[in-house]
Amino acid sequence: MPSAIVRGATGQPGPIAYPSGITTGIFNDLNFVIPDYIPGLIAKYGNSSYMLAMEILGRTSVEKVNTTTNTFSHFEKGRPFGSGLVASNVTSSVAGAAINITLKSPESYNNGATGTQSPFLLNEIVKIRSNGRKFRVTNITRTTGAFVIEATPLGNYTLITGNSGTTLNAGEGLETFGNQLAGEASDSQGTLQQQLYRYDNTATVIRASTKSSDLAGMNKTQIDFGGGSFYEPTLAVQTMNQNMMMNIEDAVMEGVPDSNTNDTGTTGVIPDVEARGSEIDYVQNMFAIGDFQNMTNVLDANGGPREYHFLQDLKQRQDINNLLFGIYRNGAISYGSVGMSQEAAVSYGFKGFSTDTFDFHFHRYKGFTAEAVFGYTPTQGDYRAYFGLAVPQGMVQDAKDNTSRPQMQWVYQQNPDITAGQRIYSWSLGYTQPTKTSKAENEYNQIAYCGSRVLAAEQFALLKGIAS
Amino acid sequence: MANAKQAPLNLPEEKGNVQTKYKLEQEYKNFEYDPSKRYMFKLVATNPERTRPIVNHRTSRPIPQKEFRPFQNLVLTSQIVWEGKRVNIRYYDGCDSIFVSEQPKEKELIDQLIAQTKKRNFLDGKLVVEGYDQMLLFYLNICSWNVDSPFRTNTANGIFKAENTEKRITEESKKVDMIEEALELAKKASKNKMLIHAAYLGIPTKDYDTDNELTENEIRAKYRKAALSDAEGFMSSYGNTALETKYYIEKALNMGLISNKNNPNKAEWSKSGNVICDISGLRSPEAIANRLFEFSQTEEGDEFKIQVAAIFN
Repeated sequence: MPSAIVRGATGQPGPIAYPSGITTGIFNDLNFVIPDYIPGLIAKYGNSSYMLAMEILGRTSVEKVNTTTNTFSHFEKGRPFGSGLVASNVTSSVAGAAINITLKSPESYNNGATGTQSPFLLNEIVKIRSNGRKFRVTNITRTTGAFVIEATPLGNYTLITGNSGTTLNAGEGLETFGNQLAGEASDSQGTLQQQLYRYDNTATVIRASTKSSDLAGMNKTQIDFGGGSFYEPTLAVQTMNQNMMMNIEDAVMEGVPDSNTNDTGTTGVIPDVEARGSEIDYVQNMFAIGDFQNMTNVLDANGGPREYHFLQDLKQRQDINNLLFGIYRNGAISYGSVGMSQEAAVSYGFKGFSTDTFDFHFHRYKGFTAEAVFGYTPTQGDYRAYFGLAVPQGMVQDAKDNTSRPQMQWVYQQNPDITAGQRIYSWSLGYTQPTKTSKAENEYNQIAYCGSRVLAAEQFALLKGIAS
Repeated sequence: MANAKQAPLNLPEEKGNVQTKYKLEQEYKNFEYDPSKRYMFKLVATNPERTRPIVNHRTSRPIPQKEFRPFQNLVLTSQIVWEGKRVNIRYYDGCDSIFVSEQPKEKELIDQLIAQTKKRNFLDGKLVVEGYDQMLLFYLNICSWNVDSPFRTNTANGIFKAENTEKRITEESKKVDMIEEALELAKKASKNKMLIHAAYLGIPTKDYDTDNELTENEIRAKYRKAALSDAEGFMSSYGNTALETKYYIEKALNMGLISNKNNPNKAEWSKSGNVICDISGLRSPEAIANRLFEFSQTEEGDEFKIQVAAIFN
């Protein structure tokens, strides 16, 4: 995605825009990734494009969608085990006596502040987190946002927080376990069912074009623009290819908001992770092992898989390197497998580190860094400085149809008029092209219908260096 | 001391004034939190609205969107501007000071302090701290991550703010006061004043279906509703004399009292033919009205302003 070679002194401000075109090898490499050709792709586009890495790893899909709104969906299940929090302090001073506990809103309800659905059932056994004491739910008053549970202790004890005093504190955790004490001739229980969520997203339309006149196409330069072509239109087409890759990558990673337009964008991976995943902050240049543990704790709590890709800007990569090389001087850092051979991992720019049951494959991600992509240094703030995104590498089954999908996916919408499987469609027309035009110029076009899909966003994490 | 007084930097006197100069620092340092209360801090960044909501598949209805991300840790080290200088602060459970310069320097002791310090996190955007954690509350209220801290550096990331319920309630109460005041004004404004202000607020004076002019009562009802829906905007524009002038100018143009029929480049009083001002290049009534209004706001246009107001009063 970013320019592999910075041209000129800084390369800033970048390519020249020609609204009327500049007075081939059309980009479609991504459509046909053949293993033998992978080294060639890496050589051609560098290893900084995560989009390319995902393509090579088979983490993209082309989908047919059945609506006119470019919408594609997936389904996720909620947690199967229910819990609630105590809303306000309750006194429990008589051992074995029932108490009434009001459940805190919105944490104890599946529908947030509406507060009409909780996981508590009559006769269910519930455990108090602070001391493990169990009680039976002997009555429930379903007042919206303030369910009242009548809790009867299973033993001759009080229902309190901790092991002393007479109060069950506000905020205490209550964990449901079903009926563990059904007894003789028991009757049926109430039903528990996981939540089922549908996540919709849409494909945004990405376009690029380049034009060159007959005379521009005849100008041979002294520079080989690749493939033995010395002609300027090749450079323009190459620029279009690189921009298309970066354009798609940015759209999928950062999202394309559309509520203020009449067009359809896409939510994007990072906005989804920001809303549903975790953020771990640390002080810039002072990354400590405790910060790493903060992160692994969160990943563990959310059921993250063993393997993670860690996309980082260079500054954060340096912070991590300083820490890890400082602690593990004897080479515990190794190139990870990234699901393929070690050689491949090196080629794609990953470096691995394992800790707390997790394997992290660090990838220096140029897309976060203005200096690397655009060749200038931001002076008015940089929202992606010291920034990292942990991407779980598990496959998740769709809750509805069991389709197995990677947790982060590039989704391309299938256009029925375009050859099946094509992610980026290219076409050309002009005076020397198959489709002839009267004007003596050639025009090359590309279009992609793509969007992001994030499954189990809770298992993603953002690592952010903050400064004061 | 006498010599010191003549020196360019009056250091002794400066030193003597430290207490008054850094009064705010002292206030924060000496503030006592109520040990029986809990204090809440909230993340500043809220989740952006998801264009396509997450749908509960069973009910086919969107689920409520959470305001904050589920988890974000609290960073316990910061730099602040304290007594005019950038200083490092760091919170450890059980340490008597948050100022690094006053904390133990021995590595072993620091390691122990780090190890015994509990990790604290914003869960669903909220962090609740016990009032007896005075040192932690002191840290949270002065560190640069707190957007309301008067000691934060200009370059710091803003992460959270204190949830001051008293302040919030005062603000809400002020808003209610403003609504009451706006409704009172809307009810009692003279007809002329109401019509002028209603025109500015975009309240129609005519029923577009029947083409009937609305009665004073009908307009007033809409006017009162406007006061209720945007009390702040209502109050800020009520009684604005410039608005009145603009209204009179537009009315005079509509009634043909001002025109440019004799010379398209000059606005003049239709009856007397006296030129008011130059309107060269302007064609639309709105542009001409704007030019006349600009003219009325100048010293030269003072007389015009009085004349146009006099017509309608």
